[in-house]
Amino acid sequence: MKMIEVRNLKKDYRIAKKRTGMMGSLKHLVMPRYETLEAVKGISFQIHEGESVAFLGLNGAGKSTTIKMLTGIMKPSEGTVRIMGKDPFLNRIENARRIGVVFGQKSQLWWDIPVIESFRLLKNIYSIPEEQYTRNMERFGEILGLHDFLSQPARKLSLGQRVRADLAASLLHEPPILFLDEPTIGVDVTAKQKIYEFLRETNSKKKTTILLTSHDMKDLESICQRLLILEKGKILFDDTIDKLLKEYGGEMTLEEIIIRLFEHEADHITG
Amino acid sequence: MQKYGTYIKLYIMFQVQNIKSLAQYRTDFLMMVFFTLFSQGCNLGLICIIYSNIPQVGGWTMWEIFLLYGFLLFSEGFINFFFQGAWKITNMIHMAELDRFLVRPVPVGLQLLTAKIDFDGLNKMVIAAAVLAVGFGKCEISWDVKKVILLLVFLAEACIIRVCMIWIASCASFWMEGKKNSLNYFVISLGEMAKYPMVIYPPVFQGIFGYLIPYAFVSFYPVGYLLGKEGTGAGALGIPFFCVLMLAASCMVLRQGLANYESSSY
Amino acid sequence: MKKYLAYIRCGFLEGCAYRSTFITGMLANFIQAVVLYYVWKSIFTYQEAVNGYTWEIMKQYVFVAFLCNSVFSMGFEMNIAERIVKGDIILDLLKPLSYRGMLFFRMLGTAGLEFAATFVLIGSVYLSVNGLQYLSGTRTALFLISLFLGMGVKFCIQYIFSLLCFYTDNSYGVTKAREILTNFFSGALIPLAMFPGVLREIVKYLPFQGIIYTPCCIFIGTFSVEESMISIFLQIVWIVVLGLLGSLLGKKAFGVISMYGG
Repeated sequence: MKMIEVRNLKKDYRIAKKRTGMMGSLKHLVMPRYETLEAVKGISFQIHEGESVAFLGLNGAGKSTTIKMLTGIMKPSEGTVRIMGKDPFLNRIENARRIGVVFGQKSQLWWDIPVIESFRLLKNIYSIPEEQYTRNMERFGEILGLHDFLSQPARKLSLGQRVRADLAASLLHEPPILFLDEPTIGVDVTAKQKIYEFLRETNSKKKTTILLTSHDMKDLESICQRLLILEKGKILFDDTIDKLLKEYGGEMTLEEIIIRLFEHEADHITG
Repeated sequence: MQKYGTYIKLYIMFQVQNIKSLAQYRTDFLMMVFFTLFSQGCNLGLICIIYSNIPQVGGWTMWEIFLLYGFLLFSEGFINFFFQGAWKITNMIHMAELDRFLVRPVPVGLQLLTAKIDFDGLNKMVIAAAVLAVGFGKCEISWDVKKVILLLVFLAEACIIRVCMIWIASCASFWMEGKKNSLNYFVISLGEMAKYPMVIYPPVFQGIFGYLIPYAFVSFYPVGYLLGKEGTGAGALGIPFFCVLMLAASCMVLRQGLANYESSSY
Repeated sequence: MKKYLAYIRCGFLEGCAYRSTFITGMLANFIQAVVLYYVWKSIFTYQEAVNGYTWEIMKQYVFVAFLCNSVFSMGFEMNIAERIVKGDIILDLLKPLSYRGMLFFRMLGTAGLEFAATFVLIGSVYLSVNGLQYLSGTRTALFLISLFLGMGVKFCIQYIFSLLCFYTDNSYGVTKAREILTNFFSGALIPLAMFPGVLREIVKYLPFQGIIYTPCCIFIGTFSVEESMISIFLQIVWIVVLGLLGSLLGKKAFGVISMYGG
C-alpha cells in the first residue's frame, strides 16, 4: 500500500532583500524589495507501508520544507501530496490522526505542566481508548525510560529526556506514519541508543512507516533502509542504502560516500 | 453536533491546564490586581476630572460615559480571561510554534484561543461590572426582563466583536514575514475612541469606527440603545449583523493565513 | 563614548527594522490626541472657558502634549521581558558597559527616528490648526531643553518599571500600567491645572509633570520665563533622584536573575 505519494512538489518562499547600513535600512523602510527562493523544485517519490526512509541533504536543501508539506503544516506552491490517499493540507485534522511528528528543535509537550499531564491531554485530543493508553504508556515507559521524569514539567527536562518524551507523545495514538525532523540533534549517545532501538522496534513490529531527516549518518544507518538525498531542492539519489554502498565498491563508509556525492555535485555546478 | 461537544470539552481541558501552569505565577497575579485597579482608577478618574469642570460631553452625562467604559472594559477582560490566546498568534507565527498545533487533530483556532490565559481579565471584568452597576444605578432606565436580556446579549456581542478584531489583527502576521506585527496593540488602542459617544467625532471618523473597525457596535450603539438615545436604534439592530460578519472574516483570515504560513522562525 | 554612539546607531536601526511597531505605537498615541481634541471641541461648544483654558489654548496643548508623549513612547519593558524569558538578558549584563547606559543610548537612537517622524506629522497638523501666530523664539528654545529633560525623566521611570519585569511575566500589563500612570499624572491627557484641589497639590510633588506638562506650559506660554527656569531645574532634580532610585532597585533586580540561571 502506498502511504506517501508525492508528485512534482514545489515550494517557493518570498524573502525580503535586506540592505545593510543606515542608508540601507532607511531605503528598506521606504521601499522594501523581495525575491523568490525556490526551496523545493518539483520532486516526486512514493513510500510504501512499513518502509523506513531517511531524508539527507545539506542545510537548506529543502528537507524540512518537504516534511512540513507532508505533515500538512504548509501548503505546497505546486504539485500534489497524498498521505494514505488524502491531501494533508486540505484534510488537516483527518491527516493529523494518522501521523505522528517529532521536531528535534521544538517540543510538542506543554511547557509548564508535568509530562504525564501532557500525555493525558493527548489521550483526550486523539480520543485514545483507556486500554490502548495504558498499554502504550507501559511499553514506552520501559523502552524509553520515561518513568524518571514523568512528573517534571517539560521545561525542566534535559534535551535527551525531552526528545524521548516527544517520541512517546507522537506514538501514543499509534499512527501508521511517523515523521521525525532531526530527532537526535544535541542528544547524547546513550539516549540516542534508546531512541534507535525504540524506532527499529516500532518499525518492524507495528509496521509503522518512518520518514526521518538528520545530519547524523549513524541515525540513518541505524534506522533506515532507504535513502533519499536532496540537493538544492531536487532529488539526487533515491534507493536503498545497501545499493549506494555497493555502487561505490563497498570500500567506503556511508559518510565518505555522501561527502563525495556532494563534492561532485558542487564540481558539476561550478564546472 | 457531537464534534462541538468534544471541542467544548477540549476547550475546558486546555484552560484547566493553563490555570494549573499559572499557579506558579502567584506574585504576578497579586501585582496585576494592584496595577489593574490602579490604572482603571486613573482612567475613570480622568473622566471624573473632565466632568468636574463641565456638565456634559456631546449630550452625554458622566454616568452614561461610565457605561461606555464599562462595556469596553468588560469585553477586554473577557478576552484576557477566556481567549487570551488571540494575543499570542503573532508570537506563535513569529517563532514557528504553530507547527505543533498543526499536527494535532484539533482545529487550530481552538488551540490558538486557548494558548494562554490571563487572570488579569478577571480583575477587569469585576471592575467593569462594578462600573456598569454604578452607571446603570445613576441613569434612569426603566428595567424589565426584555432590557436585562438585551444587556446580556449586547455584552456578549461586544466580546465577540472585540475578540474578532484582535484575531484578525493578529493574523496579519501570516503575511508579514519577519516583521513584528503590532496591529493588535493598535486595534486595542483604537478602543480609546469608543470611550466617548460617536457623535462628537466628524463624519469621517464615524464612518471608520462605525463600519471599518466596528467599535461603535461594541459600546456606543448598545449603550445608546439601552439609554434610549436618539439615532441608535438602527445601529443596535446592526450589532448581530456585525458579529456574524466579524466571525466570518476571522475564519476566512485564519484559513487564508494558514495557506500562506511559512513556518520559519526569525 | 564611542561604544555608546554605537548603541545610538543600533537603536536607530532597530527603529527602522521594527517600523510597524513604531508606526502603530505613534498612531495609537495620535488617536488619543485626536480623541481628546474632539472631546474638548465638543465641550467648548457649550462654554467659552474651562478652568481658565480657552479653546485656543487647548488646541495647542493637545498637539504639543502629543509631541512630548511620542518621544520615547515605545518603552522597553516588553523587550526586556522577552530577553529575560529567553535568557538573553545575561548577555546584556555581561557586556563591559553600564546596562542602563546601553538602554538609554539605544532608546536615544530610536527616539531620534520617532522625533523626526512625529515632528513632521504633528508639526503639520499643529500649523494647519493653529498657524504661526503663537510661536516665539525664547519659548521654543526653552521648550526644547525642557522636552529633552522630560525624556530623561521618562527614561528613568521606564527603567524602574522595566525592572519589574524581572519579577513578573506579564510585561504587557506592566507597560500598560506605566503608560496609564505617566499619561495620567504627566498631563498628557488633561492639563494638570484642571485637576481638582487636593490632587493638584499631590501632582506638584510627583516627577511625572516634568515629562509633558512642563514643556507644554513653557511652549504655550502659561509659564513665565522665570517659572520655566524653576520647572526646568525641578526636572533635573527629579532625574537625579529617579536615577539613584533606579540604581538601587537595579542591583536588587539583577540578583533575581541567578534564580533563573542554569
